Amino acid sequence: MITFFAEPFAFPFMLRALAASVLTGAVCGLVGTYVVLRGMAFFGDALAHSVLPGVAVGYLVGRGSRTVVFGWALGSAAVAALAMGALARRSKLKEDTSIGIVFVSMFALGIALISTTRGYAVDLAHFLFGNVLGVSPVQLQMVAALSGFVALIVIVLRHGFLVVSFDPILAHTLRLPVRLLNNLLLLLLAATVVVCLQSVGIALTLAMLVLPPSTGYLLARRLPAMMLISTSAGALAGVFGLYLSYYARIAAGPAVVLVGVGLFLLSLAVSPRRGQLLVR
Amino acid sequence: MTEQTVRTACVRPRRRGRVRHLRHVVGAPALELHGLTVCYRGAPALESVTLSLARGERLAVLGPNGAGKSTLLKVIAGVLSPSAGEVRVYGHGPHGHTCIAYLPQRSGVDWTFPLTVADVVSMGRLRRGRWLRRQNEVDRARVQDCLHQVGLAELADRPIAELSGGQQQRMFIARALAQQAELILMDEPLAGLDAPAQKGLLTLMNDLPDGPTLIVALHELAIARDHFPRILLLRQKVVGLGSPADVFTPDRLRDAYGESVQLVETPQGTLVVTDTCCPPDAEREP
Repeated sequence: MITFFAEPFAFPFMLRALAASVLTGAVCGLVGTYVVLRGMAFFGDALAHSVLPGVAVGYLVGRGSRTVVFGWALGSAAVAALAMGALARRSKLKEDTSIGIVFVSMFALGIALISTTRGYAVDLAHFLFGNVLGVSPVQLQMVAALSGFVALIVIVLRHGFLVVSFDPILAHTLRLPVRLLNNLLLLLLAATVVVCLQSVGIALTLAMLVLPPSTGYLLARRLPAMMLISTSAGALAGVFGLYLSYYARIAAGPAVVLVGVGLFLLSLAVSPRRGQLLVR
Repeated sequence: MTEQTVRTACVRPRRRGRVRHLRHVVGAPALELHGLTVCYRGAPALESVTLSLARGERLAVLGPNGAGKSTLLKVIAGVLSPSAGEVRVYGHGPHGHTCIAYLPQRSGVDWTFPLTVADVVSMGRLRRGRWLRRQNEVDRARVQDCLHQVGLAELADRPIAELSGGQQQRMFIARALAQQAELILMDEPLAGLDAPAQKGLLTLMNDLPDGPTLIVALHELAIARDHFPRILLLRQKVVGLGSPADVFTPDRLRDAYGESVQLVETPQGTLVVTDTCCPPDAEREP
């Protein structure tokens, strides 16, 4: 039994993968809470795909250095996040249309840039589906730093984010910095997406943003509890996803997500809110 | 010609500067509006509204859907900026005040949020300059107190999804009290409530502690007549302003409600029949 649990982590790269996927799961669970409560799932998915041009430029400029890729990806996601908001405000298009336009533009640009390199398909696959087993010590440090920073801001500004999400007019009449809080939340989401890049990859980032928070939503009655459950569910998915990956010999990213799905289904089965969910 | 004046009035308002909390000017009326005009997508939602309210006064705002009731409340709250004209709350522009409470329409609230009644009421304790700190004993006691005043003390830990319509409205009133609001704006608080709930809510509004100034958007003419000393009848412009007897005249009601109102003379007096069925788009205001 002990060997069953200990065996996969005898290798240093597996330990790094464990740390990375736990951090990713936890920070996604925390930030994803707002994604679920505010109905921003499509936005989150679009944002995840919008990091691709940044990744590509960083990859081409940094000659394979993953640290450079990180910075460019963050910049790309931040630009996309603010562009989606601005386009919706200025163009009078519906919000999801604006998001979709930025999404496809960025994604196509990213693929176009990557297609200029040799070995294009392999590189693209790594970015799209993640490669948590290949996390280097430096990358792990960056994932940890970014996750810590995001978690700190979410916790310190929790009252502000809550009021802005639940009742924006109240936030205005309390004279909170509404626009600042909204934009900050988008930037935190951008940072979260970049954290996900290495572990679950662009294509499955959305899964980590919506699955753990939905689990938390079904089990909790209040926001702090929802965040706690969501964060734990994300971290648990990270741990057990790696076991699943190791023993079932499947890719790590999808394995983490599948465990996330399992936890969600479990919460659906035992949830006190389930009746409510199915009726609506 | 009128087309032209409308268009010039509908330019984008300038961005406001930094917001500060403002001390009330002594002796200033609770609310003054001068020639207030608000444009929404190039068309005026409100046009040259002028009015003054003393502290503690209670005003009902009536008008058909799309008359600009919600817009009026949002401009007074400082959430929307006027395109022309001026709003003064206790002598200053509304943007700096934290003593204005806006109670949203119940239909516009996401009741699936994982919040308890006490959570929502304690949001009223946050405000500019002190929303980063933890809630302390004073805040908690105040929240309990406010819940008690609106009769929701037993439901403090109830999720908001489980409240009845009347309870939802009471919760928002408690939040306004927790905010120590001196000017309370209510957007159709009685809509969708049954008669006993409406009656309870009106009693509560009459007996609010410290007598805040109240502005209530309503659809119910008879309730406005019986419970509010001043009425504003609105259809983009001010159609009538004054006591119920002054405002509810057949001419003014016809001006405000147009085709959707029918006045029937009966032996007991004038009977007003309104057809409240409207295209759903009419309700959508900024």
